Amino acid sequence: MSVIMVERKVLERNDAVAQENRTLLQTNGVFSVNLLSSPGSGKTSLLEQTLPRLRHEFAIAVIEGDIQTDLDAKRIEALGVPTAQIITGGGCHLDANLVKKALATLPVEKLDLLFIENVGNLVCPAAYDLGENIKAVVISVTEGEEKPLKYPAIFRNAAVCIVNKIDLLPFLNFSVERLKENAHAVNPQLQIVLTSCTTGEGIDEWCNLLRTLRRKDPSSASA
Amino acid sequence: MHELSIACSLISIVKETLHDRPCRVKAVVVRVGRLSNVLIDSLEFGFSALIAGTELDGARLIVRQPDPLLLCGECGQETVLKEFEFACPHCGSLNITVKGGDDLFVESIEVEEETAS
Ligand SMILES: [Zn+2]
Repeated sequence: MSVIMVERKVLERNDAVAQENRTLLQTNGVFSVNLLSSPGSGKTSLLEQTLPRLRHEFAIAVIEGDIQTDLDAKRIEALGVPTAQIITGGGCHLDANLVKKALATLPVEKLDLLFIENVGNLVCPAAYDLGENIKAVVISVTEGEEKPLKYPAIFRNAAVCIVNKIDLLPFLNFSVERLKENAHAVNPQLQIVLTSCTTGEGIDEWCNLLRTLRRKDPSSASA
Repeated sequence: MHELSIACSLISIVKETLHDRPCRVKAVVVRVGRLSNVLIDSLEFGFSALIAGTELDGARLIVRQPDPLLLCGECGQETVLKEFEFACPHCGSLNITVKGGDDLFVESIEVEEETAS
């Protein structure tokens, strides 16, 4: 018997396409955000609040990842923002190739900002680089403070954590402090924003954070 | 979950590596970091389902899960990462990097050469 040494990354093909996406976005000065969450944490609602606040300042597009339906894409399109829909047909995550195809349908050369709404799932999307600048993870206060400890991979790789549905805090036994401790235990650099898409609280802060992060990114600032 | 697509990617790496080498694959050794969210049972299941009836039929998947290491940026010590403890156990620094946590690699392939008859 003989042993053939291989030592190759299983997802090398995904990573290579992600790098193509990254180059395309960066050369066009597009700052991109990969939005991740469990199902029902409010990613689409967050975009519905975010886009009207930023669309007069930036040319924005959205890539909507969904397992089955185009309902979320319709909600975003209704805001007048170019939207590319990816239906994964049961697939539990977006991969770089799906994003590459979606990018081909968007006016990338005109954009400043791109949101990629990933499939609702905190496990699989962590492994797939899409070519984005930052990952932002959305959790809602109904999900419990242990989320960062249960999904360290995603929280370690995210730049921002949006804690959504804070209007429900009075009715829940949820400690924001405890959540912050857990989140910073796995990622001390993680920036945490508290939002409510019902009352609009915190959305301006999130938008300001996006402006700052975009400005800090050398490739988008120069364009 | 995504174990099936990971199994699929690793099988294509194995096939690419072997091209048309006349051999029987006995085992494929993969390294899966403990922070990579991959369920080993599902990966093994996906692997065996995907190779059934192909030239890889009968190959075993050997999964290695070495402990991730935590490298301290302050005191320079290297320790095995314990669950949920992303701080240096020696000096308490949070300035750390984790090595090998989300690894997902095909390490090697064990084959039996088919001697030309
Ligand atoms: Zn230390």
